[in-house]
Amino acid sequence: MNTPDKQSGDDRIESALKREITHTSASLERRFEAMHLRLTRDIDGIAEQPQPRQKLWFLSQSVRTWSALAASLALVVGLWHFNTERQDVSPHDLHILEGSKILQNEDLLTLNQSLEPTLELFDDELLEFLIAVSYENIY
Amino acid sequence: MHTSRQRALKMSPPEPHSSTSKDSDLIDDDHTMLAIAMGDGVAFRALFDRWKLPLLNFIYRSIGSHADAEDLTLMVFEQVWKSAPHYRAEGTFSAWLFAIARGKLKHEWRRRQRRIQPGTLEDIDPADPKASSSQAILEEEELLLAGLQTLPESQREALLMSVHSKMESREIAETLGVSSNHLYVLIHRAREQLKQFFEKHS
Repeated sequence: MNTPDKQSGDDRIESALKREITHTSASLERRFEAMHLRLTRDIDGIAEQPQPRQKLWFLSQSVRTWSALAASLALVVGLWHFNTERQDVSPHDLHILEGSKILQNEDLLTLNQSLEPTLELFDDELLEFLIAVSYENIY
Repeated sequence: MHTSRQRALKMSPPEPHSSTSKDSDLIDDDHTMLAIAMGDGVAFRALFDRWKLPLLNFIYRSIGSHADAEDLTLMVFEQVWKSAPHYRAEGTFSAWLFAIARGKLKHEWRRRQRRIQPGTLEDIDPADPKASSSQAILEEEELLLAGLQTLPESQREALLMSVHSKMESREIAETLGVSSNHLYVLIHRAREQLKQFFEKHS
C-alpha cells in the first residue's frame, strides 16, 4: 500500500512528465514550410523573392540546420576572396564572418535577434553573391 | 523582453491526448504515408501537424534544448519524406517514426557533448491560466530535465516514449528491442530514480 509521501512523489513525477510543450514556435513552422518547399521541389520559391535580403532569409529558413548555413557562410568568405582576387580582409568579409559566428552559436533566440541587423550591413551585390554560393553549397 | 518564439513555447499542465480513436489514427497515418510516397505535399503537412508535438516533446526531454529539439524534429520529418516510398505498414507508424527519432538522437549524442539547457522563465507564458505558478513550473521543469540526464539511456528512452509517443507498451517494447516485462522494469526504475532525484534536490 502506498504511503501518502510515496503517492505525493509519484504524482509529482507524473505531473512533471506530462507537462508538455503545447505549441510549436513560429521558427519551427517557418522552417518546416521552407523545408516543405525544398522537398517538394518548389525551391523556385527562393528565386521568386523580390529582394536579395528576402532571398537570403528564405534560404536561411530552409536549410537543415543553422550550422549548415554557418558553414556555408564561412565558405563564402573564401570564395569571395578567390573571385575578387583580393588579399585584404574587407568590411564585407568581416560582416559575413560575424554572421557565421552568430549562426554557429546555434542559439535560435540570439540568432533571430542578431541575424537581421547583420544582414542590413550587406549591400545587394554581396547578398546576391552570398545567396548564389550558399544555394550551391546547400542544395 | 519576450520574443514571439518565447511566447509560442508554452508548457502546459497534464492533459489527456486527443480523443481521436487510435485505430483511425493508424489508418490515417498509413494512408497519409502512401500519399506522401506519391509526392503529396499536403499530406506531408498534415502528418507534420499530427506528430510535431509528440516528437518535439520526446526530443526536447531527451536532450534538454529547444533549439536542438527543433533541428532534430525537422530532420526526422525530412527523413520521413525521403523514406516514404520505402515505408511498409507492417508495424505501427508511430513505432517507425520514433525509431527514426531515436536514430537522430543517437547520432546527436555522438556528435555533441551532452549538455543541459533548461528552459527559461520566458518559455512559460505567464498569461496562461493553466500556469498557476510560472516559477514553480520552471523549477520543476529544470529539475526534470536534470533528472532525466542522470538516467541510463535505456531507462530514459523507455520512460519518454511511454509518455510522449502515443504507443502501446507492446509497440514501445518492440521499438526498443526489449520484452514487455523488461520495458515495465525500465520504466519503473526510471520513475523511482527520478523520484529520488526530486526528493534529493528539492
